[in-house]
Amino acid sequence: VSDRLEEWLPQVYRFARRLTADADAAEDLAQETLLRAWRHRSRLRDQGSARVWLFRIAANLWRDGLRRKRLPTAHAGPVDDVPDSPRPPERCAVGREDLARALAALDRLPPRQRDVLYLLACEGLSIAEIATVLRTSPAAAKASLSVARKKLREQLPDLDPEPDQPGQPR
Amino acid sequence: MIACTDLDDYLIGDLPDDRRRQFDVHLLVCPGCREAVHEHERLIALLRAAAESEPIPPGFADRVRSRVRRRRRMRLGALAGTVAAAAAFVWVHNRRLNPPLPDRAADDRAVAVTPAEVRVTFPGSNVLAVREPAASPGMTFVWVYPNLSQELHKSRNRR
Repeated sequence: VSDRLEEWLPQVYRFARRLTADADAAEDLAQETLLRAWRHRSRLRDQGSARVWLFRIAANLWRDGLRRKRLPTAHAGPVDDVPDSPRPPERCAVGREDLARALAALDRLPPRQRDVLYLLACEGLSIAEIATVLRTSPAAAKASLSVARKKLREQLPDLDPEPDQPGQPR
Repeated sequence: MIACTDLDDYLIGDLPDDRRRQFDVHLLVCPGCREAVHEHERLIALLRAAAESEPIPPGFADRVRSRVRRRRRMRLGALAGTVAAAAAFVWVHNRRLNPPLPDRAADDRAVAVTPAEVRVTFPGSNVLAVREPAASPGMTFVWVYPNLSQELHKSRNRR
């Protein structure tokens, strides 16, 4: 795999994990994504957009797979199914249980809302990039994001980690 | 005029720089927006930490690399098979057009050979076959160039 593609392996896997809600399916999807990207690597003109391109491939593969197999869309597993964390993030003073609850709440959102919120919050993509990945319009992505944020705040009223760098939204 | 209605665009970083600076000033005088910004930051920090807490399966990168290598070998193997089939087809076709001189000894053995038709298909359409002149009338060499258009495209871009 090209080094420039390979550096995004963890991000691709984690996005695949959100899409599939299953560790094995996520690994398959991530592998297929990298394989597809490697095969069509000549189409990637701007290396700076590799991550967005990879996410788009993953989302397309997953959507096509759902269409072909008529699989149910991803849904959250039990909260205690979240694997061990090897390195707790320092920026967020919450416990593993809270992180697991947050992930479970995220995974309970409808797929489009979940994906928009994940790509914004966890990957820091812009609205335009999110719209590209999910093949939708920026206005539709914004609308989904607004609903997703509202639902998640309702589901997680008691989780209150303090960010380490206030004043920098996004 | 900046107002609370710009809050959503501010939160997702979708405001132009000048309006963003204006909204920063607006935050000083609007407790509601200030609280919304803090709440958003908390939610983002929580989700980011939650996503990063998910481990990557051990050996995942190695499995991806080996799968890509395997698939690459398969594609090269298929291409080599195609080239071999193309060469066989050209050779048989040539034998039919230019039959070898009669060989008495071979006639005595009375072995009849019927040229078989070989059908060759190329996966994908970007293949160019170029015939190479050969000294022997019973032999034809063909160079097969896969993905020629992509190569041309790349070389144009390099220029």
